[in-house]
Amino acid sequence: MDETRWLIAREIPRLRRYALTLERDPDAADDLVQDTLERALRKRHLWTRKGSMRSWLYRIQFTVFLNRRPRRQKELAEHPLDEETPAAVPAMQEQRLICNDITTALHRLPDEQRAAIGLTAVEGLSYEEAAIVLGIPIGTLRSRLSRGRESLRDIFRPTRDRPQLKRVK
Amino acid sequence: MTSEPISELDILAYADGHLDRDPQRKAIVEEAMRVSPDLAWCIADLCAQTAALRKAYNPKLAEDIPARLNAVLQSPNPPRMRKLAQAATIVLLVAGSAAAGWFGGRMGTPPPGATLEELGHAHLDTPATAAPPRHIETVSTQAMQPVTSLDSGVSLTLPEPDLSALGYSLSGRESIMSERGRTLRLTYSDNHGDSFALLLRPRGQPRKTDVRLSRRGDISVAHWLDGTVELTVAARLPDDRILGIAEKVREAMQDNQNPLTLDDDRLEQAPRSLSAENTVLPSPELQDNTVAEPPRLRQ
Repeated sequence: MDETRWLIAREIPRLRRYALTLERDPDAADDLVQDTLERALRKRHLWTRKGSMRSWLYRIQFTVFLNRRPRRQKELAEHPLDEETPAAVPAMQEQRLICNDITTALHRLPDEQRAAIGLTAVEGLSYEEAAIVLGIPIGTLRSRLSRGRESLRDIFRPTRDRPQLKRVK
Repeated sequence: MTSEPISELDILAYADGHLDRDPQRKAIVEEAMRVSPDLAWCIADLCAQTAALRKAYNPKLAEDIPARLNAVLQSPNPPRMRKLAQAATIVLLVAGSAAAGWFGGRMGTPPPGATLEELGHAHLDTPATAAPPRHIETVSTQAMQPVTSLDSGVSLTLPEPDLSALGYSLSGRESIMSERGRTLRLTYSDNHGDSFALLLRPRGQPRKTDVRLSRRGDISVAHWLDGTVELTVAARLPDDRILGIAEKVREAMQDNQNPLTLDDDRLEQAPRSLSAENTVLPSPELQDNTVAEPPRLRQ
């Protein structure tokens, strides 16, 4: 395996993790990763070796994800996500319910907000790097993150009269 | 400590652990949290979100890599798209002299700046003479120069609309050059001698519109935008048949296994600002995928 392929292979676990924040279904997520890898190999001449391979692959993956959206929207129209109402559960299942709630909550967000949160909160990219990967200004990233994270607070851990995310002195 | 304004990004960065590499900024946020219980509550919520997200998704890192993903990297020539071989495709190139010879059609000379609707009216009676191959291979990327603008080297890979359900089959292809760029014209014919022209042209900005019908003399033209492609159907047919054809083309574009793909090399070019020396790496804790602990207020 040549060096570039080896560098790409090293990122597969992270690509799979990020793909799962974009595509809820694990098989669809791996489909996305497969398409990403194929595209990266075809475009490997564009990687200058002076940048981050990981960020470059995230960028490709997000592009491929966006290109698949017309089919996704049709599938969502035919099979809408079930409304899940958090119910009281025994304490021993609390951790599992929290995980289920956060992934369900995340996938209720618009694609752009979910993509931004996936890169920053899950993958750990800096905001500058995430903005570049998504091809948006930092201000737009801030807006998507702010709205997305506030929406998650509503869905994942609803509380009355909680303070809003805002600039403070 | 002087109270400084903090931004939404400061708050999110604190919750995501990014300020661990900026102790000064982190201290400012923590001071703000100390004087504002509401802010502390907000950040605690956000930290809990981040922790839950990482707890939910980090196990993915430890999974074995599926064989099909490893196989991609071990294959000498990965396929363009996973299901490409199952459907005939056409490649629409914006520019590049190789494209004209590749399509093999006559070059039309419409009026300068002709809209796609005008092209539909102008070229309806000029049959395309290029023999349609059953399957067109996509242009190799080696044939394309690195792109510097939207007008060079951009290609669209899209499915060849199958209109056999309406009794039409593809009978010709032609590339038309105008001031507005290169247009692909497909001619479909049925067994009764009726034919229509389907024109496609790539767009820079994705946009969708409804089908709009216009008529000039005995020629009807249906025109619409479908994302990164502009389409026109032109024929001497009743309006309802034109609209039926247009809807069938739209369905064919949406129901395919190979979605429209703007195959723009610029999207994969590694931006200069993503250079290794400028990349802000996540903190070691994030690299080790350790779940961030909720902040503690200073006593």
